[in-house]
Amino acid sequence: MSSTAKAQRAVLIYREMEPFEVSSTIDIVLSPQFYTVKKEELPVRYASQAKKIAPSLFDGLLDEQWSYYYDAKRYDEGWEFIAYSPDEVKSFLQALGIEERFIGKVFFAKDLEVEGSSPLELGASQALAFISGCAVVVPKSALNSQQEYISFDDSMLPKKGLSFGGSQEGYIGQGDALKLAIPMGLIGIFYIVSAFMGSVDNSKSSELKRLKEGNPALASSYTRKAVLKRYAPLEKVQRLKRELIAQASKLSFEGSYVKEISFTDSEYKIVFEVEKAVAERFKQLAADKGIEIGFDANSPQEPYMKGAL
Amino acid sequence: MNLMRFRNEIVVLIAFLVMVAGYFFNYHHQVSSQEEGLKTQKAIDEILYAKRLKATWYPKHIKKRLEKLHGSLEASKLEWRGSSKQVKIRYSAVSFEQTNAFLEKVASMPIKIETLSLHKGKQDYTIEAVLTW
Repeated sequence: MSSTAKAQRAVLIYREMEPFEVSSTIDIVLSPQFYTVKKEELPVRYASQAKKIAPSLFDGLLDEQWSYYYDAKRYDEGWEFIAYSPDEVKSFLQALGIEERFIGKVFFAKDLEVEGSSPLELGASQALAFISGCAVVVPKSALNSQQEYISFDDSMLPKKGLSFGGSQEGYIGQGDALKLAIPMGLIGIFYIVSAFMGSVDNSKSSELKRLKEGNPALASSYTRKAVLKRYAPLEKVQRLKRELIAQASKLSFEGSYVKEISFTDSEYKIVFEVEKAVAERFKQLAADKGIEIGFDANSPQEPYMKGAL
Repeated sequence: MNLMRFRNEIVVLIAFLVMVAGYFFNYHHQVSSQEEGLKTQKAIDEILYAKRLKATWYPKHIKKRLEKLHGSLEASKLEWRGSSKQVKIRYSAVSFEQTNAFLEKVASMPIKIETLSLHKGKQDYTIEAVLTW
């Protein structure tokens, strides 16, 4: 026998329930069969401290085949501890035919907001009763045969529920999602922050501003280009002429003289007069200085430098 | 479709998009910063170069320096014909040392050597030059 949970969003889960089908996410309410509650008066101030000591309080009370989660909540005289195993619940639900991805929020029966003292019916033989503020599963036979039962509905749900993670029909669990999302988010933020950190240096911009202010005539790129167009070729040719004069001077020594220099608009020529005795020295010196020298077969004593300006 | 069912996937997707967007933002910012830096550096280099060129080839006080050059040459061997923008020089029958001194002085001046002609005779040199500014 099976039923569907489409109409109702939350389902009260208990051991003896029949399998049922779900096609979308459902919230579940766990009967006390799936959790253990213990109340203790402990000199503990914070919930985080209470949670740390919770496992020791349940020592020997829990089925060792499951791993448990613990929670602690303060009540009037002390702390209310609860232990539950998501794995156990998931395993049970799977046996009922409910896949993990359909599990939505999870509530505990102890937190249900039930009006009156009537128990909730759990199948044919059991009931969920609220005795002294505690939810307990009792056999119907232990109750009065005239006892009236109420049915569970969504209005009894508390405001806050748990999540087992990995539910909601998704493909990534909550833990895995955080493990992936946090590093990726941090890397993204690092990229953005480092981009701004890298652009702090404005020294070049301020230098350019200072130069433009000091040379208003050269502030415009058009003016600069016009100046460069006018003076750069001139600089090139005039520097070459001076370099040639310097080279001619370097190759002049006792026995080696400059015989002729000619700089015209488009070319240059420098002719030397070199005595035989120093011809080798002249060649070596020219080679050392990296100066290209030409020789005329008809007048080997008159090496020359020649080229375009 | 209830998007809340895929909230984990959405969180991962958003984080992934933040990472990818961060990477491209960083990359784009770096490229544009480099381009801006290169552009700025080019403008600085252009200003400095143009400033130096103008100072070199559009010099002040060039006439004074030419007068000084004129004064340093041996008058009997010199023909000096100057105008507002150029000077034609003929320096003839000069010694090797005088030739060297003349060339060094001219080469060190920020003036345009339009033409230069030097010929060695048996014992001396003849120099002809046209200098402009």
